[in-house]
Amino acid sequence: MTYYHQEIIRIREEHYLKPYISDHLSRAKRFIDENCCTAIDLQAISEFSFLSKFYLIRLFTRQYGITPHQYLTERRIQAAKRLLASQKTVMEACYHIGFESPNSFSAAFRKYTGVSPSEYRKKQFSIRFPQETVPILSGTKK
Amino acid sequence: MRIKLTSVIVDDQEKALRFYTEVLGFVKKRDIPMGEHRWLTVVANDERDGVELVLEPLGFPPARTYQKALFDAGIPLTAFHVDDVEREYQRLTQLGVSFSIKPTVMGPAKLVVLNDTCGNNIQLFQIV
Repeated sequence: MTYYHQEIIRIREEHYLKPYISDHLSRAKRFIDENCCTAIDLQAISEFSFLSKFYLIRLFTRQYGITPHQYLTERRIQAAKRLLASQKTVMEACYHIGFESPNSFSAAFRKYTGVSPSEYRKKQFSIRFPQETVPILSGTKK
Repeated sequence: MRIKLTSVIVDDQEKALRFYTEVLGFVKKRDIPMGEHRWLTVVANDERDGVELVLEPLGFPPARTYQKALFDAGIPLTAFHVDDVEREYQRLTQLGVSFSIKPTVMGPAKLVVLNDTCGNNIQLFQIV
């Protein structure tokens, strides 16, 4: 067994959560992965993973380094990026991924990606259709 | 400031290109002659505009000492994300890849460590 393998075993035993707890958290994560674009909340995640809301937040953060809410938002923003890249409008993306207001969507999108949804969409469009082809496609001429 | 490149040092660029493309499944992105060596990068097949991995030649002798020390200790030089560690392990085993760590769960991650035949251990991981 290599030094690295020994260290993995040591760290797992000394620092990671017990497997049965870890399984509950994996269950919570999968639930978020599969339902991130629906109106799920902490209560639903808690019920699905058989953990109280208090323990869910505490243990999920310990295992994954972010809260369940942060993870849910992260997954929703990833879904929004795919929608915007496929030229859905900002409003369409916002409502499709379960955000209730465009303002909160824009703020979350900027926080996670560093740019606004409209800037991101515009950039994706310019990658697909380089500058010189845009006037032709949009029917305008310089 | 952005992260566009990362690198693995390899003992033979041509052999590394074959392993990283034909076995691991990356795609060659840039191949620029640089005298004795090449500026050679690969990208993930499904993220071709993503971070480029430079297959960097061992041109600086002390790098060989560093690489060997990591390899002998079983320490991965770097790690790549996969969707399903078990599936990749089965696929790569059938292609003759050797592993120093078989599928192992470590908290939220499942991982394996493989020999890239170019002097490095490489870790594959998924978050479960």
